[in-house]
Amino acid sequence: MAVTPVLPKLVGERVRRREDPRLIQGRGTYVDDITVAGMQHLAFKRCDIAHGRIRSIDTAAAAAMDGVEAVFTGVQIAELRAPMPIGTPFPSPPHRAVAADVVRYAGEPVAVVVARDRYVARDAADAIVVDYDPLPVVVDPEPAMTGKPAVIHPDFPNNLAVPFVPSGTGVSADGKIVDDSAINKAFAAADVVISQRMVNHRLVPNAIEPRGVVAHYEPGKDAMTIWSSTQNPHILRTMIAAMTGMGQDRVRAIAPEVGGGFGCKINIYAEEYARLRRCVRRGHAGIREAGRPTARGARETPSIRCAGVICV
Amino acid sequence: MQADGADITTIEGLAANGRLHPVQEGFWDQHGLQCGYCTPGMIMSAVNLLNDTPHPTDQQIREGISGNFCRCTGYQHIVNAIRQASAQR
Repeated sequence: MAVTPVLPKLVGERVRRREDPRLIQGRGTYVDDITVAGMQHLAFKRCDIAHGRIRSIDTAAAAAMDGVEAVFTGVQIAELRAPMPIGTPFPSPPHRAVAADVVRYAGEPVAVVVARDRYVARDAADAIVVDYDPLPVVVDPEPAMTGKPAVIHPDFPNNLAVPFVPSGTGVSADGKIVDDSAINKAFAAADVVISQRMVNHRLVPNAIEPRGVVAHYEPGKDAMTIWSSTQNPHILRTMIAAMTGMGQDRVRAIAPEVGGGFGCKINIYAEEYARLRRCVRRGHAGIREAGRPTARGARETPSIRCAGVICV
Repeated sequence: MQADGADITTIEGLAANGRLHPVQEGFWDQHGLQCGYCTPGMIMSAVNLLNDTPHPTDQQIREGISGNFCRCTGYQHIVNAIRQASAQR
């Protein structure tokens, strides 16, 4: 005779969280708690302007510092790997892990330092000198949609990646609505038409824990383990496989305790890609330390400059 | 060293003999945390506050934890957690 299991009553009951005992006793494991033997640390030199052309990068002082293993500019990174896949069905300009010629937002990485510890890495990143030719900065979305005062990506002359238009409405390649007869017909037949200009503020998620990543590549197994403060480990695994050409069965993405995210840790970031570039040996002689076990970085930078900015 | 000769307790040493501190219990009971990243600082600040002021007002609680940021709870559940611990003293 079948026995019906008696389940505990949950609806309407106070249920204490199962993860709290470790979090209230200092026993959680965040990315910063993870160490792998031989780990190297990354720090990123970031641009402090929103739009400009890189005229020169002087990495000599950084490269000469004791404890610095290597310094890479965006040009050197670009020689090694194609732009990052974006993972959306929308048209997208090429995104590089480290800017090679033009910087397009304040905080975009322009060089990366590999060093024995995070303090040396950060000091070396600060010692990199970058000279820019400033370009006009786009701050207002409405003139931006006419390409004013600057076009950010040449393939998108009106700064529009995805024109959202009603079904049945024709749209040209550059995002202009060319046939709005269907929507005009619908409005004409409507009982009520409300016109309202909606203005929403800009939303910037800013978790207490900055983003951080540890990556561990094991050449003998051709296997990658990546610990990331991410809200999206499954997609991270898939994207890492796509970025590196490794099979998904070779890649393991782990989200340990995550110190807040609020949406900014859903995206896959350039620093994660740069870290992989460092760690995965694909026969690129230009990377002295290719195959070193791990690398970590980006923790010391305010996430507001290097995390996703969501405009709603 | 400013701490020379002083006792220093961190979050790892707060529970004694397998029993959580009342402030830890309060945080667990009252949903005083979500991601947990600020929690060690919050709890240790609260323990210090209650050692000095066993029955603080809400304003004193908010001042007592003001050295820590929390972005998950909106702070009210942390105040509730410390209230619960205070009520046991």
